[in-house]
Amino acid sequence: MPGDDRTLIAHLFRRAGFGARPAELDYYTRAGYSKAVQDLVSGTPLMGAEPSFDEALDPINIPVQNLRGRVLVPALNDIQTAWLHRMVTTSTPLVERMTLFLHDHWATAYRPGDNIDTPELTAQNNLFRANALGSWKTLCHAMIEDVALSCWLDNNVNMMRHPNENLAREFMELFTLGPGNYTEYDIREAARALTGYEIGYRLDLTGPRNVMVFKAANHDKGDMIIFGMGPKNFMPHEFVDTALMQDAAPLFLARKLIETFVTPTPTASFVARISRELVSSGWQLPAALTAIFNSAEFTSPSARAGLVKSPAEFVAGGLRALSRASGDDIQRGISWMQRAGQVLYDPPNVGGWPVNDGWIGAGGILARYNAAVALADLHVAQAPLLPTEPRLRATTPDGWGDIFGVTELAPETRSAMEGYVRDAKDKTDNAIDAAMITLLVSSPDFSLA
Amino acid sequence: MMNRREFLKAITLASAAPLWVRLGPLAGSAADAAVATPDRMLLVLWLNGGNDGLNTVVPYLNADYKRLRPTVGLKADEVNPIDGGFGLHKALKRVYSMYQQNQVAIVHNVGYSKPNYSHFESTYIWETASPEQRFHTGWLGRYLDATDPASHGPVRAVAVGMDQLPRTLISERYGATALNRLSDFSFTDDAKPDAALRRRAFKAFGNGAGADGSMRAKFVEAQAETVTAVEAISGATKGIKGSLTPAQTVATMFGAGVGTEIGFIQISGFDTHTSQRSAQSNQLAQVDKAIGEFFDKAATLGLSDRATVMTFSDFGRRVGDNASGGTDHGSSEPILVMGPRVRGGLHGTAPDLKDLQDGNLKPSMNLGSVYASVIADGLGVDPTPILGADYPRLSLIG
Repeated sequence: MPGDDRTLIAHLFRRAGFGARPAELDYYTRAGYSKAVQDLVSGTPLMGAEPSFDEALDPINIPVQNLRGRVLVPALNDIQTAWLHRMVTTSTPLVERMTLFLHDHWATAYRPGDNIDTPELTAQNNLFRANALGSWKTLCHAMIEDVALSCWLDNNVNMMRHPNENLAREFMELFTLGPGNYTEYDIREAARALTGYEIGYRLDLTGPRNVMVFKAANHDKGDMIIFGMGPKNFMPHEFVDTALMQDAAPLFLARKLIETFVTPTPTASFVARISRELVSSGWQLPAALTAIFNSAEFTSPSARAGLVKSPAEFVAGGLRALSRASGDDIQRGISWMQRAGQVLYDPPNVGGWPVNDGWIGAGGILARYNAAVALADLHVAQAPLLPTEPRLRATTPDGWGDIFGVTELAPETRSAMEGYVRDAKDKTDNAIDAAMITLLVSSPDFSLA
Repeated sequence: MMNRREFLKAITLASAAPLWVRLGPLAGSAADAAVATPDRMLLVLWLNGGNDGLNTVVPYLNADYKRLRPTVGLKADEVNPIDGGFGLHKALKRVYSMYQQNQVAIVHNVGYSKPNYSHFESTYIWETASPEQRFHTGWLGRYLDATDPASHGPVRAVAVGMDQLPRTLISERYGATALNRLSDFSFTDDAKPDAALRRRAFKAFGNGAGADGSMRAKFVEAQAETVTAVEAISGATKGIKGSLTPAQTVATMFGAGVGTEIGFIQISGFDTHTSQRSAQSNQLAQVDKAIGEFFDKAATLGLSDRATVMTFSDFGRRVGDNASGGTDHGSSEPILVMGPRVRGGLHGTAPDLKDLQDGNLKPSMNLGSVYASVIADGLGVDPTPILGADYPRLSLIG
């Protein structure tokens, strides 16, 4: 069993959340690693807190600005800031981390001209959040009726007489099976199985939004053969069930989860082990995640610093460590993320964002450094806490590491920070703290997870 | 297959070093950063999404074309006629005028055997020039690896306006630099009194780092490259005013005296499953604009005679219309190679619309032949070790 030490818990929170703060590290060091895993994968509020409801996050309180037709809908920036705010303040960080994973996996981008506007993306985001620690199978079934994904991949114009293959192909290639596990013939047949949907309209809390409506009369009535099964008339959800029955399906998801949370180069036996958890649990994501976080592959010290945080994790982690969640802070965070290459709700293509070294071109590295500068200056200039409280600070590099959820600094990082302090001309708290935060946040230690 | 050591040895023996001339037009302000400006430069323009080649270089007189494309097919008044019964999509205005000056080589029907219809896999094959996936580095990344004397500048290749480094530029040894705007490319605490001390500490993160392949090693290496690139670019581009488009940025980098010789930009939006007529027209107009911007900027920097532009896309598209006013994923595509050094006109064999495979064109030119010609005549290096095969070459560049 994994040890209950603080460093391992810090590692868990860097991967399964947006980093641990000192109070969380203290709490779970006492409560134990297993308790930390259990709270995260069950979506239980951290440190025994009561479930909270933040009115500001209720969709009905999100301001509406865009005029779409005769209807007011939120601007893209409004739903981006709402989500980043959740990442920074959530008491159930793995829910938000998995929501981010699912957004990247089922990558759908803001295209208001194609019916993918903020109400549709909000609905998709809420679908991800509701299933983030639920059943993969339930989510897959819901996704073929998700209006944003359907319009993104043209299933809204996939007609009986003229099938459009886009959703069928990506559903198999990118979402459930991976290349090599289906044929071009399967794609053509699956496209026919996915016919019958059209765009409808529904009145939601925030106003009307588009939805997909299934009309049996518009579904291809002919026989199909998919993955060698049939001939029979596949309905859309029968196609989803058939895809998930393929041996490749649990292996594909297991690999993707492991690549996201453990290592870009998993062994086949590790993938098979997590795949079996998915099968035996009936596609329960918490079962797979629990097995992942308790695995020797994850808890081994050699697993640490093996992944590169995405800009979203990097920015949310920085703001969270310093408890910065004002509207102004979050707005800045959105622009730091954009500079570093990530715009929420606008992934570069249907394959999602880059991973690991894909994030660390010179532009990305520079953007992270400049975000660190801005975050440090903000913290020093205007502490977010009550005026009577002292500003959060540390007096050693390792103390700063602890604040940012990095309990073990690399020797090079520690010595670089110490070198700065030793040779600094301006030794006031403000100057030293600004430099320490800048260096810690721009260090490999903070960007690596 | 040769091993890596043999590969590098073969390259060193086979390649003639490119010619170099002294200092670009901005060299005066580049001071220490100035290195020789390469005399051959290549901009690769990716039509992201799978451009419909049959509506780019259009067989508008072909009866099969008219029959198979009742909806998306272009009529005579929607193209500018070139040779051999083909016309260029009217959105390609600048390209057409360059064609008339013999500055556009069009290679017909380029692809690879066993076409793959996945965006990612097919683009991967185009970018690695490796249909059998023997290589995972990019074809131009391997060019950088193959031509590595110390005299090269700090920024040999740039991809501009990209979210991530395109695989085309991924090499074993070279970091390429992704830029959005040149003006973004600076440390924002440069004006602070302790900037130098901060920078010293930032560089020290990589002290004692070994190339052990760990993520940390990759990260500190990227940090070191970032510092080098920022210093070089800020030195070289001092005094440039106003914002630049990606195409202008590449031209500017070519002339910046930092050794840049390869550029990569993309125009997205070519996955025209629906409403193709308007969508492709808009996107091709952007391609045309980018090409014009690039050559105009290159001209003002005195680089016109050195620069070549080539296009590629994920794949071509299905020959027949779909019912959504669009086309689905297809196979081969025409490649455009442009610039003053190019031998203008049509090259290779036009696609045969009577001889299709599952509704798709059968490629009649291997992508390796196009790359081999561009590497040999455009960049002046033996392409065989880079491509891992001795492809027949075309006479695309004089």
